[in-house]
Amino acid sequence: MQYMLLIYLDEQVAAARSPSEVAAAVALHDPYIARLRANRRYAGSGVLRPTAHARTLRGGDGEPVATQGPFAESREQLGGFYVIEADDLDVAIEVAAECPALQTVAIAIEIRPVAHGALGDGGELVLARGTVPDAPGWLVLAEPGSATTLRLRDGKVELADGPFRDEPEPIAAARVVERWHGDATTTLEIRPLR
Amino acid sequence: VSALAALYRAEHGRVLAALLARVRDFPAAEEAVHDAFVAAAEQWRDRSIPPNPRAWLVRVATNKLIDRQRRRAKFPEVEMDETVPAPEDDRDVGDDRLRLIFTCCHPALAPEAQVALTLRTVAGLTTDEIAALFLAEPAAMAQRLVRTQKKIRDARIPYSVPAPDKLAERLTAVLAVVYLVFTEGYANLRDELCDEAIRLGRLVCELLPVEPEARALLALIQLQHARRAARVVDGELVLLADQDRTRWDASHLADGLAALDAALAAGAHGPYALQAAIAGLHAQPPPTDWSQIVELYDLLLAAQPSPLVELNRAIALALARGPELGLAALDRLRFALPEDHLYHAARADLLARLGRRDAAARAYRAALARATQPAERRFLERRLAALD
Repeated sequence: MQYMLLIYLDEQVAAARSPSEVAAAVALHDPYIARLRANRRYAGSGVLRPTAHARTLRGGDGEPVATQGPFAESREQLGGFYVIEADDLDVAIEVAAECPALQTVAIAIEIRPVAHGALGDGGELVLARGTVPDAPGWLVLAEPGSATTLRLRDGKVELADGPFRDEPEPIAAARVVERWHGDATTTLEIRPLR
Repeated sequence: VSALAALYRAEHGRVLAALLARVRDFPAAEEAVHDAFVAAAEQWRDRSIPPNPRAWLVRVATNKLIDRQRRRAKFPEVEMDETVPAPEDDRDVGDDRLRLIFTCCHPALAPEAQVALTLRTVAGLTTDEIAALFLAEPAAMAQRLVRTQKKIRDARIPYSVPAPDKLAERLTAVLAVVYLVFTEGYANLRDELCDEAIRLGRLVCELLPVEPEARALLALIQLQHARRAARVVDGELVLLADQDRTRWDASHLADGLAALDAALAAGAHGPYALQAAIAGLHAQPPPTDWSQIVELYDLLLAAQPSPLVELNRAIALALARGPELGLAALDRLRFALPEDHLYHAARADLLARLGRRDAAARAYRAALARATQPAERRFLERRLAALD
């Protein structure tokens, strides 16, 4: 079974880091990914560019409306993700707890079970919000109620029941494409990858 | 209540546990167990209950589960493990029930969800009964239970006893659920919740006989519960020192002291063991050994720092070494517990003992402004009136 690890960070804190700090933090992920691969737990990952580069398409009855910027105005934003293979939630929690992001810039890691599908490959992460698009090619997530959120408090990993935050239109599905040209039958948030 | 209701209470958790050993779908298993009990109610109305009702219920529930899956054949989401035999006796089911407890008390579930699901599936209470226990709307409680069961399925929370290196940590969560049920009952003077907690505590001890901390928790809640009839008399709270000891429940007291001895002999030294040891000292005939109680509170503070423990230590200190020292210890809590009626009530009592009547009256009024429990309010009102 697969789980998607959604890494949330404070964009202002992340942006305040020097280039060498960023490089050092990113470099921590190489051995982590190597270990995941060796244990056959790795199914994908990505680092997102800041939400200044994001765009949002709001679908609906009429023409979709495209706007610059993220889906939600907030300092706390999705900064990266992993898709992992794990037998059950205990294994997924163990894998997430070892994620280097938790020791550096992450505020929290949300573990969302994957219902079905695969993520794809390319330069942009597309997040379907609210409802799952009625089309193939998406990694469909189990509903937010099945999420578990990890935080580091005083050096100890703490678990919370539920998603990182309650949103009227939570992430329902995700896919990675080279560049998104499709329309939006549902709200889509498009986040370029590094 | 009918024999069937009693059977439901006793067997629901066992049947569900047996079913979950074969199928990893919590909502589907729960539904099938429900169907089996409905079938039992119909079939057994005219005839007597079969000699092994549990085997009957497991068999029928398993068939119901397979039936439903066949009807939903388009969605083969449930994988049955046909190799698991039907349980015949308690020993087989014991392991299943233990797995069930650890699933219900998984740390990825919110504490209130753990409590509700444990009472529903392990203790066999109906949703309405749980809602009544926690003064919640039945519909809201049903929703919480459904959501929790769906999370167990969708997130694949394992249905297993944790590995030895994780057992202590996970057992802590199980014991916390038992203690939460108890304290909810103890604080609100609701005996039925305390009884459920003791039932659960006994079950955990029965399933994990070598765990000293589980035994210590059982000792603690039995010793506290033993005093229930003396704790509230004519709707008014009675302090431990003023309680009529002949009203203590001798059998709970004996059970609690025996469990405490067993836990301490097995090496229990955690927060429950320390609290149980304190309760054990209180259960001894007077005079109470307050110095030793203060020492135990010191150990408890080191293990589990909390302003409420400090409050209790200050009260014990006052009785061991005089009200001035107790009051000084209490004053250190004025920023930690400014809104807690127990803090003001304890201060009021020590001020009264020191003859500072005006200050004591102010403190009693501060406590009354914050206390909500009627029995506690009557106690505080009488104390305040007695100052004049």
